[in-house]
Amino acid sequence: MKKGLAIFALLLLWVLLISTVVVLPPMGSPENPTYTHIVPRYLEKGVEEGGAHNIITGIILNYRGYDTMGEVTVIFTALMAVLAVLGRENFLLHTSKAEMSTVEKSIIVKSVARFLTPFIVLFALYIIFHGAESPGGGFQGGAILGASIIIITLTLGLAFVTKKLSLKYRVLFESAGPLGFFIIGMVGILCGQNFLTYLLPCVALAYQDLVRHLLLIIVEIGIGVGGGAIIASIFFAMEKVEKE
Amino acid sequence: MVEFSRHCPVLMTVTFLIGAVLTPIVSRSRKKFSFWWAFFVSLLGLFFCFCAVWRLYTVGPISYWLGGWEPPYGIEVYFDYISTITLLMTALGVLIIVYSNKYIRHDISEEKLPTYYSLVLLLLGGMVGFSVTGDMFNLYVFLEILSLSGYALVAITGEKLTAMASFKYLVIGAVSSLCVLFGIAFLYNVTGSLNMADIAFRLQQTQPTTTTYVALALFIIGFSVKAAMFPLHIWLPDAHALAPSSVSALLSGLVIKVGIVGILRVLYCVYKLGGSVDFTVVTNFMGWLAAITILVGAFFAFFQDDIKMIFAYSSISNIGYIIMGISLVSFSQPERGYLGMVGGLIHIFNHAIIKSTLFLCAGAIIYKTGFRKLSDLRGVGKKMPITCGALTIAALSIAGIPPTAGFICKWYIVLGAIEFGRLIWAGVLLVGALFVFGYYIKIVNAIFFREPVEPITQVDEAPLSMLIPIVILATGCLIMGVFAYIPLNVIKPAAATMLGLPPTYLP
Repeated sequence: MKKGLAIFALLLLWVLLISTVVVLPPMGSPENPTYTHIVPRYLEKGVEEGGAHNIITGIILNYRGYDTMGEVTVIFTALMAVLAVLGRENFLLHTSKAEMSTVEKSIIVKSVARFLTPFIVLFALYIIFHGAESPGGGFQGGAILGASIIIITLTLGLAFVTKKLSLKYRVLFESAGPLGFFIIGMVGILCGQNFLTYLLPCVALAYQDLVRHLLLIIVEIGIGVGGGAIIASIFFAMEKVEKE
Repeated sequence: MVEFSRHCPVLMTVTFLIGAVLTPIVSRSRKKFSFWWAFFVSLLGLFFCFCAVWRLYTVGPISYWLGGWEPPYGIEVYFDYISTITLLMTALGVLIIVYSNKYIRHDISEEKLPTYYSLVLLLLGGMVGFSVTGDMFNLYVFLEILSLSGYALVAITGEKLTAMASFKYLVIGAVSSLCVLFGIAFLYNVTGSLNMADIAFRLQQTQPTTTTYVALALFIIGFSVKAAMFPLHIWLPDAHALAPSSVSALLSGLVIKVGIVGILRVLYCVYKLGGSVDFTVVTNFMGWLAAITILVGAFFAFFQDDIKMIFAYSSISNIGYIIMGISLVSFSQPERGYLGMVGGLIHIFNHAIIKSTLFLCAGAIIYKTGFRKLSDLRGVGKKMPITCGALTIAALSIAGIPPTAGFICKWYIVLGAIEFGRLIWAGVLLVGALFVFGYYIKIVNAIFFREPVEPITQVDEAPLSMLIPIVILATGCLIMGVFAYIPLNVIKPAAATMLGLPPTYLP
């Protein structure tokens, strides 16, 4: 009975959603309202107003920067939620010195991981810094940064990585994303403009573009470093439960 | 001052979010410091909120363009009369943080204190951001922040039962968020815009299609889950009753109101009366569901023994009142829905204050005695007179006894239902009120007029830091009832503007 009701409700939702998708304005048609209303402005003036050659970066950091600030905070909230349930990694709970896997790792795997990690981090930094010019940006770079930390944790052990990347600094890095936005936003307000304004009239005209670029890079670094640190922290927190 | 107060709607949201982000850093070496930090941040947020409300009533609604981009291109934060609910949110937030100081240390280890305060601040920031935004996608972003922190706060004690309740809440809540996101995507596809005012304008320009109606249905489903309306309420009793009491007060007092604010925004700011989409079918349906919600909530509450369970079911019943009030609307004569709208809106405020008082009192009693069943708590009133006195005032208030706050809202909603010609709804409301009266009499009878059992005779009054918020809130219940013109002065322009009448409209 209960199951039948649930399946019926799901079917109803399915019919509803499919029937809607069928009558949506056709994709790619020039009359589609999504192409005629706001998007032309982004495409025509995005590069010059948004301050980034990559229009996506211009939109998510400039036109809709407040949303991105919210999204970065959502990621931070996810970390806090994980910590509320699982707690921070805690070495006192471990009997052995925190090896993730019981499988013996060969010297080749360890050396390759050690050798590759700096390059992965370099690649992540490239994506973060080059986000304004080419596909990429803080979120993508941060994911790669987090992945590199996970790789060395899996091969060299949690004890090694958490010693290199101690909790003292990780706490600072975790909040880098929202903090970057906050700093930029306050610069805007102190300059007499609205929150998250990048083009500041209080800066001499010749330097405005440079300042805007600097501010965008601060935000990108914040998102990237923050994202990477949060991914690593969530990963470390999960490790504890497996051992218990 | 006027120039500065322009920034307030954004600053108060950002204050909470950044305060939350900084909590783990500032309390890195001393975990207990996180309380003072959270207290300071919430006071700062309250101050910004006061500035914004002051500006609203002296200068007018604030439209703030993030990054200086004009609305359909950038994000607009719009502080209007509905947004005055943020004042309630931040003020209750301060009181609940003060209450948490002693209470929460009894439930969670010191290690988790910064996480707890950070999540509470995120929850408040999410709610405030949700209530002031004028952009659909921004609405969703803040909905996510507040939902995520809500799920985590339910599970923070780490017990098996709360983890189960939190998981149920998480699954149902995630589906509802998804519904809202689908609705936003469909509306974007039809209008090509994310700004609420712009969507409303463009919806009026064009003929409504299936997509428009499906989007409306998805919004209503999604926000009804958040508000715990009848068939979608099943997550609420467990989550609200098993969470730590300070969290229950936040969830039951404020978070379920977010669903209502969402419904109000979508119906009256986006789909708008006088627009091309006729949503009276939907509001009628919602009204009938609200009538069932009132009865179901009150009925289940009547047969509970756990005091927090009673309060949780009573929240469902009260959500029914609010939704009934705001769904009395007709397209041809908007002024007919005025009284019901005033009642529904004022009940958002009153219920938040009353239900927070009840949960905080329950928390104080559980903190001192360790019991949560009514049968174990016989005679506790003689030992904890202030807490139980506040509980009684709040109980009278929610039952709708005249000098207290609950009377005004029920009076307006009943009047609205009668004026609208829905006598059955008015009848259901009165029957529900009788049920409420019944189960609160049961509580008051048990805690005051029964002989105490052995462990109860040894307890004493709750600590001062818990009593102060309780007493302030209980006084609030009385003030909102005796000086009802104060909240009514705030609510009436809000109700009028929502129905498309001039803010000074009087029936």
